[in-house]
Amino acid sequence: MSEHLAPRFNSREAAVIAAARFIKDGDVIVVGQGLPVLVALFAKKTHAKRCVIMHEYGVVDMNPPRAVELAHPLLAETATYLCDMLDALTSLLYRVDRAFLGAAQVDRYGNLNTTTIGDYFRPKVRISGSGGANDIGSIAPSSVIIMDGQDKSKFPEAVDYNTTPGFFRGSRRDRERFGLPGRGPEAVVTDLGIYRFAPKTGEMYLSALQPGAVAENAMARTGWKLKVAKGIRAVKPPTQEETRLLRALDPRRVYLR
Amino acid sequence: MPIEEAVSRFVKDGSTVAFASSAGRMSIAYAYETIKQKKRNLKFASAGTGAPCLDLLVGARAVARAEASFTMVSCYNIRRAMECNSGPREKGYRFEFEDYSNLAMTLRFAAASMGIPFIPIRSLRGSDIERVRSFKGKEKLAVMKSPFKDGSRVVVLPPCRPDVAVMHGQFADENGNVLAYGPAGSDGWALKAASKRVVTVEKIVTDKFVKENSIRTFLPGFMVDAVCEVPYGAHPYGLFGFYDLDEPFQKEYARMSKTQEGFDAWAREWIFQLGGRDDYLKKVGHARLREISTGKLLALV
Repeated sequence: MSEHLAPRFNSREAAVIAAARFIKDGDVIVVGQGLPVLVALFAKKTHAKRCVIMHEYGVVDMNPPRAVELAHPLLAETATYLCDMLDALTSLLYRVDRAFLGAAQVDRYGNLNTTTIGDYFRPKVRISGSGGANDIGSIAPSSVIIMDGQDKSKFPEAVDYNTTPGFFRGSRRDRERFGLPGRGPEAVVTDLGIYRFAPKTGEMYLSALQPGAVAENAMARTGWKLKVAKGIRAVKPPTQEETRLLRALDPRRVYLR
Repeated sequence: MPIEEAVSRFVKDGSTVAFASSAGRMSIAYAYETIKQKKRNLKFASAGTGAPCLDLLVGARAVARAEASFTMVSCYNIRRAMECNSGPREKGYRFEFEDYSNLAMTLRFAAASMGIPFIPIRSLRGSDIERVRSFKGKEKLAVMKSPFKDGSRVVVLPPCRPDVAVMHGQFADENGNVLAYGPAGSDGWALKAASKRVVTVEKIVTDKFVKENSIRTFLPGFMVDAVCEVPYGAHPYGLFGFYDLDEPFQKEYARMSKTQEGFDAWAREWIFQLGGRDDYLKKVGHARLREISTGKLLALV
């Protein structure tokens, strides 16, 4: 392929770069497994060099030279603070600016499923369970969801299993009712667009379109009647330099595949 | 203590075994030995990344129930035991799973270590982890109103008290003082919660070395029931300051464990037909082990 020449980004790369723009320099962020790791690292290597990246198993301020799996010792070996999960998922979690989470399904009201597809007791697919996702989504002040692709099965009306609640069945106030400390999801990023949540109901709507994407396609790949923002924005396409940097960060294609 | 003895003495059929398992402290060697000794009907408990240990134990039909928070899509043995259409299940083998979150399992271990009857948590409320119950039923968790002015309703969790907990650490001395480096995950809580604690380590060191590095002492000797020197005990997973993941090995394991026959063949080759740890390391290959070694911490001793 021509990746060593002037690179043209693909749609997954565009999603990662768009999600990374939610991270401001100096932010403290907590990342779940999968694409969130790459999103955070990309921000740290580009526009947010002073951001602090934390993972729940007790790694704070990781800065590996390249993207590796979360179990890789290189993450801890480049960190400035190591602690345990109790510390990371309680006292530290309250102080982060934002969480980045992936999911197999995100529904109309931002609820996330990372547990099972189909019936819980006889699932079609066992995914991974909560890990720390429920704790992060419940407690972190705010979260951004990055999805690996978008279709009706990944964007259903209601998740098969609500691992990590967003706005339940359409009420932001339900988070308060259940005593969840965090405000819930602020955005969902896919290869088609950036989605946000309505003020009262917490219903997801299309806020911006990725380069080359059209609203009709995003609606067709959503499992409910998707609302579209008036004056929908276009996401700024990744530059060649950004694309080159992102690929250099993941040379073995751990995340970009 | 030889690892064979650390399994045979502490793990009985039906025991609850916690694999303390933050990234890079998995005692994969202990899981191998548990399988080799054909333990059955075990209960598995873990917060976080103990999934590779669980996958091995489920593949070997050693574990009946798991209280945990995490599996992985590459854990094919677990998936085969749970999913409705990922190939035939083993006759007469039943595996049940109770889902918690990482923080929930960590707090359950902490509650057991503190000797308290339950512990509150701010997450889980409203989720299907709260609503849907597997084998624990009403004993999974409850919702309770704070008796204090605050009055808020929170989930409370029962303690998790394993019969045995095992971790792989970097160093220990002859008295069982364990030195551990790297992120701690839930390891300390799982060990402190358990009736018997086993720590496999890369290297036995002198008590002088422990005293000079006591800031790294993870558990004092009186809290540890057995220490086993097991170099590369976390292989094919990594260990902070010692070695990286062995990715080709992990990929081959995942490929083989897509079917029960495949896993059985893999287990024969890598567990049952080997005389002991030396055979395992020889079979992985010393050249390969050198390749993944980072050796940063070994330079200390």
